[in-house]
Parts: sequence; C-alpha cells; structure tokens
Amino acid sequence: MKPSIALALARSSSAADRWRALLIAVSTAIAGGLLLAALHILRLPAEIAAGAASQMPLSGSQQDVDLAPYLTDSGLRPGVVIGALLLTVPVLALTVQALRVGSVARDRRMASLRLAGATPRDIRTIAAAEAGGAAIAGGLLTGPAYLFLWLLVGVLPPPGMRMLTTPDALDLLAWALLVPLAAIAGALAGAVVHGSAVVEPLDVRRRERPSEPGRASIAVLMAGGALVLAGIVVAPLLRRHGAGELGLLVMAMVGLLLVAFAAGPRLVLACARLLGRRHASEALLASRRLRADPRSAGRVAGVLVVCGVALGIEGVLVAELLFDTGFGDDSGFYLTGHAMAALAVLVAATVALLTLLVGAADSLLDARRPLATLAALGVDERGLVRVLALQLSATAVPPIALGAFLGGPLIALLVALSNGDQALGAAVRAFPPSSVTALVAALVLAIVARVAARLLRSLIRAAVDPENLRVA
Amino acid sequence: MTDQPTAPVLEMTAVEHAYRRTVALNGVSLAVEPGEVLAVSGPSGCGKSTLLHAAAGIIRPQSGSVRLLGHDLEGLDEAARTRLRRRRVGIVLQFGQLVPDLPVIENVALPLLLDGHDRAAAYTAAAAWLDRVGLDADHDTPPAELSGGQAQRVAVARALVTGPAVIFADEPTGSMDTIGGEHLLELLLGAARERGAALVLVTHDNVVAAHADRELRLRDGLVEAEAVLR
Repeated sequence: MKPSIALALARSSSAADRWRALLIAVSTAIAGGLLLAALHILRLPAEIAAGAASQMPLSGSQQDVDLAPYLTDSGLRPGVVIGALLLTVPVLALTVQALRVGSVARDRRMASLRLAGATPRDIRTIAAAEAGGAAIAGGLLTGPAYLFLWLLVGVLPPPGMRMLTTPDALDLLAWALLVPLAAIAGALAGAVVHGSAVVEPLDVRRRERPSEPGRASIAVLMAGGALVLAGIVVAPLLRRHGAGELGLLVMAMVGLLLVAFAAGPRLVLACARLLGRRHASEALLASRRLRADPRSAGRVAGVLVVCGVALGIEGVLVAELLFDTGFGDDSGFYLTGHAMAALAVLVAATVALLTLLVGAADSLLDARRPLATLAALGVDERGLVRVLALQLSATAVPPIALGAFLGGPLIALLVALSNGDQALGAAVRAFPPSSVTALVAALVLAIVARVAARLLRSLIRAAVDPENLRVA
Repeated sequence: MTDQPTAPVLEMTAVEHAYRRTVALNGVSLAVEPGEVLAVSGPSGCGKSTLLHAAAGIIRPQSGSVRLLGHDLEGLDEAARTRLRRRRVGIVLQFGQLVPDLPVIENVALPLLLDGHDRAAAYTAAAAWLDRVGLDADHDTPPAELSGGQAQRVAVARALVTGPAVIFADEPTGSMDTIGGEHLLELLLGAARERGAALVLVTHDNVVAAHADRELRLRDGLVEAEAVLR
C-alpha cells in the first residue's frame, strides 16, 4: 500500500475518530509541555541551586530573582522536576484512553477495509499512521503548550514565585526532538493498543484476556512492594553514610507507582464485587459493567491511588505545619509550597477523572443496543444515570481514599527512618490527618462522580432510544 | 499464473468447519466451473454463509481443502489470501459492508488503491462502475446516507471494479425490496456472464436460486441435493 493511501485512510472523517485524534493530540501536547518544563528546570544553572547567588544572571537577560525558592533551593528543585514528571502520568493515561475511543465503530471500519482488500499489514500501517499522525500534531502543539505553561507559572505569578524562566534556544531544540519522538511513541502505542485485535473481513476478534489481573500484575505488585520495603530498610543505612534522600525518594516513588498501577484493576474488581452484593438492581448492573472491563477503570484507579498518596502526604505535612510551632516565619513558605503541590495533585486527579469520563462516554456509545434493551426491559433513564454514577464512584472514590489513608503514614515512616526519628510513632501520628484528607477527597470525588454521571445524561438518553434496538 | 481456463475456478473437498459445538460444514465437496452461476441454498443455519466464507478464503476451514483459482488456500498466508481476493475475487455481502466514512467513489476505488493503482485511474474506473450499476446518488455521498438498495449497488460496483474471475455473493438481495432485488440480481448476473466470471450465490430465496445454472441445497452442513437448472 502506498504511504499516501495509508495516510488518506488513516484520516477518518467520523465524529468519534476526530474526537479521538483531538484527545490524543491535546494530551500529547500537555505531556510534552510538562516534559519540556521538567527539562528546562533541570538545565537551570547549579549556582542558584546553592542559594549563594540569588542575583546571578541565568542566560542573557534572564534573572533568577523572579524564581520561586522551590527552584533555587537545591533540596527542593528535584521535587519540582519529579512533580512535573509525575503530572505527565495521568495525562499519558488519558492518551492511552483516547487511543481506545470509538473502538467498536473503528473495529467495524477496519473489518470493512479488510473486506475491501486490505491485508493485516495494511491495517497495522493504517492504525500506526492514525495514532502517529495525531501524536505528531500533539508534538507540534507541545511548543505552544509549553509557552502556555510558561505564561501560567513563569509570568503570571508575582516575582519571587515564578517556576519557569524565559524559554531559550535549547527549549526549541528539545521541542524539535520531541516531535519525531512523539510520532514514534504514538505509532507504537497505537500498534500496542490495537495489537490485541485480529481484524478479519467479517469482524474483529480480540485476543481473549482474562478479566481478572494475571500473574504479571502480581509480579509488578510484588516488585513495587519490594522497592518500597527496600526503601524502608535502606533509609537508615543511607542516613548512616550521610547520603541524600533523593535516591530513596525516587525508589519509593517508583515502587509506589508500580503498586498503584498493579493494584488499580484489583481495587476496581473488589469494589465491583462489593457492589454486586447489594440488592439494588442499579448496583448489580454497575457491578457487571465494571467486571466486564476492569482494565481501563483500573488504570484510572491506579492514577487516583497515586493522587491519593500525594494528598495524604500533603495532609500530613500541612497538619505538621499547622500544629508545630517550630516553623516560625517559614510557615508561609512551606504552606505556599504545599498549596502548589495540592494544586498539581488536583490537576492530576481532574485529568484522571476526565479519562474516566471519556471512557464512560465511549462505552455508552458502544453499548447503545444493550442499553436500549435495558430501557425496553424497564430500567429508566434515571436508573441508568444511577448505574453510571455508581460505576464512576466505585472507580474513583476507594482508590483516592485508600491512597490518602495509607500514603501519608507510609511516607511519614520513610521520612522518619531516613532522618533517624522514631518511625512507628511518626506513622501513627500521620493517621489522623491522613484519615481527614481521605474523607474529604472521597467526599469530593463522590460528588464529582454524581455530577459527571449527570453530565452524560444526554448520551444516556440517546443510548436508550428504541431505535438503537436495531443497531448491529 | 497457475490457474488454467478449463480447470474449475473453485474446488472444495470434504470441507468441515464448526463454531464451538455447532457444526456449520460437515464434509462439503463441490466444484465451480469458469463462468458458471452456482446457487447455494438452504434454510437458516445450514452452513451457506460459512461455505461462502471458506470458499473465498475469509475463514480457514478446520479440515478439508479449498482450491481457488488454482491456489490451495491452506498454503497461503493471510496476506496472500487477501491479495488473491483483492485482485481476482469479488465479494458482495448482505448489507454491503462499505467502509462507513469513505464516500461511495472511494469505497469502490478502494481495492484498486490498496493494490497500488494510480489514484486518478482508480477513481475513473470506480466512477464508470458506479454509472454502470445505476447508482442514482452523488459519488461523494457517504454510505450512511444511502438506502439499502443503493448501498448494495455500491458493493456490487466494488466487487466488480477489479474485473474478478469469481464473484461470491451472500444474500445480496436479502436487505432489499422485491423489485430492487431483481434489478441487483440482473446486474450481478449480467456482469458475471459478460466477463465470463463464475458467480457463487448464497440465498435462501428460491426465486433468486432459479436464476443460477446449478443449485446446491445444504442442510445441517451437508449437501442435501444438487440440481442442474440450465
């Protein structure tokens, strides 16, 4: 197949395809913008990190006097970089979800192409061109996204609180390198996401995957747990040798991410089972829908566990700040930092919820016939809104609550170990603020899930149209 | 080129295929000569469509052999079977199965475009076939805006645009009214006879089957009866 034909066939005109391409491009651009910001911060001169030359020029006319101390302080700067990188995780999860948007209609399209004479390789090429094309657009939009980010955190905040200096030529170079990388990553992701499908001329067979997480998930869970445990064991040794805590922090973070992503689908399945035990028919339907495909909900749950952990840590640190008088005049500095970190977590949770919403909207479009059948059997529109609300809250509320409840004490334990403090006491002291944070986060997400379900009401109304009983 | 003009275009020997526990084909053998019109009839679930899919190389039967245009389909990989279908076989299914977001002209030109033909030439050939099948709609119309009959005409144009040596049609008039169905059938038969192409027509309609040279009646995955009609 000629490349021009592959590109023409990859450029679908259906609404779902346009929506998918837009989501891929936008989420790639946001992730790219965050990556460029992290790289920019990493490239900042080391001198200002020592805090010794707060008036030193950075490059050309740039002055660091405008920068927030979170960047000029050597101990805090890596935290900002890690924060920016962690923010890309939910955004990339949104990209993966976007790749799956409209998959039923897409499957039909691909099967029609096969019937018209496209070979399996042609189909793979079209799929790669489709995802790669959207990712190139995203890569090109990375520059404007980075400029927007710079305006947001590098210009608008008052002097002394800015997080980015003026973009320079190296940013431009990084952007130029990011475009082909985004295209390759997009094409690969497209191939992987659609690799589970065997497109035949009459239909699309998906390789059967067990709905329960398998051995690989257990291995990831154990590896993550081992990293966190290793952090706990290694912390006192590091302290004894006078080594910094950054390595430990990174190790614990990686471990936590692994645990969160492996635990996500399990958590969703556990919630689905609990829902299934309730007597209400809506709970049973929500349980069945979650159990049918716990993977995409599980990915979002994983991101929300991480968000919960971050909120739990914030809760513990803010409580310490409020009740410990030892901080004196510095409390304002720390409170601002915590507020910024909480804002970043909020952005990550919002993106994760958006991913959930995109998945829910897509599944409503895909499941028009079964939903119309349910309506014909007597489940009314309000009932289906309740089903969706239950589905969304079962995916969102327990992960963030669990993350916040356990994350705070865990990090308190790690920090106490690395500082040589009484570890168990620190962990126990962390439980009350973590519990309060978990409760508040759970409440907020439960409300958001209800609002989101109501937002999708028009889609539900369209899905239960009796005309959909005739949809193939 | 391995096929010879006098050899059957399609030979199926002891073909068996089952979907889980349901046996669709239970040892079917048949041969189709060049230019012959064969109707495969029988009640719902007797294995008609499975036979057509196995004959066209869309599915691989679990046992038996299928020789299409001189090629042993078992020996061809998926890509080779697709290329054979694309170049020398035309397929028309009950609901057209057009690519939903491509306008009709591109749907018809698609097999040629996928085969690397020049775009302008492919569009010219597609437009000629759309005129020939009498599509009374704009060539840029998306499939969603076509009636069932119009979509089937486009599917027929797509099946014929490559000049196939054999055409497989699965209930091609199944989604159409009587008059529209008659017109479509005449179109298919006319195009096949004009080109000397064989036509394998799956139908449960005796009126449609009566247009064939020979009728093969299936029941429970077996050939129940065979009749030479002309």
